[in-house]
Amino acid sequence: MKKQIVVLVLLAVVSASTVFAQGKYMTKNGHIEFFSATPMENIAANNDKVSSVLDSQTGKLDFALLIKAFEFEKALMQEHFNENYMESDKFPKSTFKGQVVNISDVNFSKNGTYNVTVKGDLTIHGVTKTVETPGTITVKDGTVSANAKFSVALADYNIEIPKLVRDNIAKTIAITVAMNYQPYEK
Amino acid sequence: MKKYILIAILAIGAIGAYIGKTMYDKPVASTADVKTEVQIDAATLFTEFEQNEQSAGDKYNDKAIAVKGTVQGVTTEGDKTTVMLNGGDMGGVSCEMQDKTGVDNLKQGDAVTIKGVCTGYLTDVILVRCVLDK
Repeated sequence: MKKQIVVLVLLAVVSASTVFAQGKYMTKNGHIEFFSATPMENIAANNDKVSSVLDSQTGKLDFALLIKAFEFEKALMQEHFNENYMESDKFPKSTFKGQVVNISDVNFSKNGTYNVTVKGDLTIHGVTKTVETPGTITVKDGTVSANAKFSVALADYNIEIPKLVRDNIAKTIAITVAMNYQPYEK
Repeated sequence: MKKYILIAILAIGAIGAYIGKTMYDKPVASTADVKTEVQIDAATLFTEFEQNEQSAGDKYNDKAIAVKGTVQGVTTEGDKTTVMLNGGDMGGVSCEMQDKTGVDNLKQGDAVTIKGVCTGYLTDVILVRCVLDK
């Protein structure tokens, strides 16, 4: 009988710790926008299907998205983006694997907006580069959101823009990241 | 005579420019107006991607497909609503709705068919520009 109780208690402790104690946050509906500004025209594309996991203890931060899930206003732009520039059949995903460098500055149990620095490997168009950018993590009544803005030079990722539209597409693209995380229970 | 030729050339040029501009500005098609090429079960679609992402991607990506399944949940974030269809224990089919008609009334466990454009697989199969198929 005692043995059974011990087993039960152990089971309870193990299951409780796997459910709650991870300190991880995730989303599958994160938002990333990119914006290209030129005197000729402005082009925006939105992706609302970004997966991301943030570990509040270690600061580990990952993003993954599907290139084809970027939505444009104009059909032709979306087609060119996928077929010519990003070659999304060949490189269907873009990922970021990195770290919130100063995660200890963020108090996940206290409301507030915390300035953070994120550093890691960004993979676009099959090319991986180390990037570093400032951002914010906002804690509000147990919910966690993250925001960042940075820019990416197309040439760094071997993305070639044909001469014909070179004046219409900026050489440096502004990327806006907005994530609303949920506690990750698993 | 020369004057008429000049006018004709200008007219052709103007028409060409107009057609070009119209094509350039053409909006992305609404999924409601697109004929679906494939009809498939959510669980089957998820399993195909889980087992071989490459071949499933070649088969379904960029295509408007009709997916039949049971609703696991509906989430709204900002102006985007997502309906998650059950695909088994490991994940499902995430449908980002273009048209929210009828979505508010959906409950967990409802059987639905959703039309959307397949974009690939992350932790779930992801469909964008979805509409509820009646």
